[in-house]
Amino acid sequence: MRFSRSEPGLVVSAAAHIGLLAGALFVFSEVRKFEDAPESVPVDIVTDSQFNQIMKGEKTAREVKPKPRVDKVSTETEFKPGPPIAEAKRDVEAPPPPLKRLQDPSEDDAPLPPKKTAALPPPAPPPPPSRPTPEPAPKPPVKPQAKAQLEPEKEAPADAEVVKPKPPTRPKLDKETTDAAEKPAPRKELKIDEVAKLLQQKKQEEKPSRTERTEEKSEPAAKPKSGDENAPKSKFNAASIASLLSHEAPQRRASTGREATHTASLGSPTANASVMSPSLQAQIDAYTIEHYSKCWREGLSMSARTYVPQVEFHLTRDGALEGAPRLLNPSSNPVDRSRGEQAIAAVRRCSPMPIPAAFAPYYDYWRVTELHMKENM
Amino acid sequence: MTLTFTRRSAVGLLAGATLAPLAPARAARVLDLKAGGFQPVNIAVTSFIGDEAARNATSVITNNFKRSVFLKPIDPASFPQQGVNPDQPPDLDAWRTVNAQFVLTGRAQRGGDGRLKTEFRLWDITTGDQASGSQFVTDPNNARRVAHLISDAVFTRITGEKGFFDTRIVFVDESGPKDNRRKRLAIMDQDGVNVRYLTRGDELVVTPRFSPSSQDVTYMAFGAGDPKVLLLNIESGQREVVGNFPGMTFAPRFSPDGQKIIMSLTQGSSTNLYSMDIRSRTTTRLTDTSAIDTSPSYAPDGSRIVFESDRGGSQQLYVMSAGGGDAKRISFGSGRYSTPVWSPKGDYIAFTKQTTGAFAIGVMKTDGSGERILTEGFHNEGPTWAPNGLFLMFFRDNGGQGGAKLFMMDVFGRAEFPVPTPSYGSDPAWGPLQD
Repeated sequence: MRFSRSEPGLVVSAAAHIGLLAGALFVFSEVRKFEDAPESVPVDIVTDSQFNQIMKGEKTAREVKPKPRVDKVSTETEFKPGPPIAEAKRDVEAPPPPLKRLQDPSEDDAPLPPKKTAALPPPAPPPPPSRPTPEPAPKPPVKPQAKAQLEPEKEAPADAEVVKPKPPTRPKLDKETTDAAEKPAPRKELKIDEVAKLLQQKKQEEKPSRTERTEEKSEPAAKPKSGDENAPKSKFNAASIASLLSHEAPQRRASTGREATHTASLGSPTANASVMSPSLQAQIDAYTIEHYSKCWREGLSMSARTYVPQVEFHLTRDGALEGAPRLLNPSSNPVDRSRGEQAIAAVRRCSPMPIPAAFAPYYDYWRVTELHMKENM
Repeated sequence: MTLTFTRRSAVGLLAGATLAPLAPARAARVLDLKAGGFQPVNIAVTSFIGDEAARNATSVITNNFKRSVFLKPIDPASFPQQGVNPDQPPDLDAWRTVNAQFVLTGRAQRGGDGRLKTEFRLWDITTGDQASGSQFVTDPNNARRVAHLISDAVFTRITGEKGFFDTRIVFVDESGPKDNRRKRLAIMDQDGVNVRYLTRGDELVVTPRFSPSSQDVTYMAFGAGDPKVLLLNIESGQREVVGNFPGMTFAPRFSPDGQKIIMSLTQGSSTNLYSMDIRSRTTTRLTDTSAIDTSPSYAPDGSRIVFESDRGGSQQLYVMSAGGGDAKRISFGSGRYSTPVWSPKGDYIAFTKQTTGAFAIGVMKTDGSGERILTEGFHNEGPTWAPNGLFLMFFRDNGGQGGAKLFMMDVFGRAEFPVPTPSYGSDPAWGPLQD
């Protein structure tokens, strides 16, 4: 094969092809990778209503404000016949565990000598006597006189006119105490230290009689001296602990044990958004049936076989009976009636039903139960 | 489809309508519960307050409940409280610890007039309420009856069924050597106390039957001549022959209203059923066969009669209308059936069943289905129903040198108790609840 200039086509074509191939080899050498298959991410579609339900707890939640401590817990527990859902919000504000606090003062009191504990209750009232109340002041001095003059009174009618209305010493005392309770102002005038000192005095000078106290009132200057003298002797006086602790008047609020012990949680406790699975539902049902089967026994007679008592009952969150179980289909037949009573008794006997922790969140499901209590045969 | 609009559903609708926007009404979940095995009801019979009469009442009631099958008296040794004051509720928590479901308290005292005042209270421990309570003032001689009445009241209150403790039983008392038994008609309380003899024993007596409504007993006596059915008044001791038939009459039984006696009359080779009106003395022939028809017993409503007959070849049970007519066979098991007795509740028929070498007592439904054998042995015979239809009494002879004894059992065959008699006894007939 000969190269001729007149016909360069073949050569040019060959060169062009080679160049093209070589170029293509370099240009297209870098092939784009296939994209990796995207990893699938499971996505739950939450509907608006579900989302609202989830948020429900937080939306309605209030801040837990520590309530003033509860000094007194009523012995009666509050009995709520109705569904507790609506009332749950009220419970939110319940104070943080107050029981521990309650016990502290009593523990402190315990080591104190019995005499002082006995004197404890009065401390609040005693401060008032030291108040510089002008009106009652003249009266107290009369008391000792009155007592002393009880017999002479009869002899001296003139004095008796003045004294007669007063001999009933009790009403006077009552007035004083009521005044003390009604007027908190004078209490503020006294500093806590002073009160404590007064109390110290009182406890250390247990013997001083009332007459002495009245004298002290008239001579307030003498008192502080004695108080100052006692104070330096020992800074920490066991007797003063109680007085220092108890200068705060006990706030007795009408609260129930449940309220006092209930610790608030954010959000309404009933607003849980967990959805029960059918298998869990079956579990709860089977558990309930097994539990109450223990108390439901074969009938006493053959004729009761056709009657199936239907008992409806409500449970509290701890599985106890809420209210009385109710027979939905009472019968007038005496045998059936007694069978119905046995059915109710069976529910009562088997209550409370212990609630496993797994079932606790689904209170709404197992709160109301209707048992159809059948015969075995 | 019918819609029933009850008050409850109305309330539910109303509540649903008003509350719906606030909170969707949560329907109660409905669960089916099946009863576990039978367990008697635990009852604590505390000793009644008072003197000897109180102690007797306590023991009679406790003894009654022991034989009631349905009630189980708790052992007094485990009582958390002794001498419980009947005027105050018992300590519920304490009684719950011994699993008492009911507690019976009471008092029995003689008043100034010498009359005995007995009172009781039945406490439901599960609810803490007084379930029942009443008092009886009576002559001290009736102390036992009062105890039975209290037992009945408690039994009825707890089970809803009629009681059976204040009842009497007529039976044939057998004394003397086996080859020369002296058979006397006797009557006693259902617990075997207060035995009284109604005949002298100079003639053989069998199959006594208690009138359901009066103080009469009918029985069959072998005196001079043909054996006859007699009618005896318990109180007066007066007796008379029932009907004026030529031939042997036997197997008498009262109708449920006590106005008629039905029995068998043997004439020639055939035995047929007859009924006789006690007042008018008119007799009616109910069957007319060449077979042996006997042991008739009325249904409690008096509409039908069950009896045994060998018209089919062997002794079987048949049911027919009370006025006679076609009889329908109801027993189809192997063996021979006899002495059928219709339950006072009407639901069952008790019978004696004889198979090779054994006699059994059983019950079946009135159509012959659901046959159950309650006891079986060498010789069990003559079932009689308690007036509440829950118990059966019968007599049993185990063979040998001994004689027959009376036993009672509940209709389920759960338990069986011997009924004490002075000597041997047979052919019991359970009387009605006393007035």
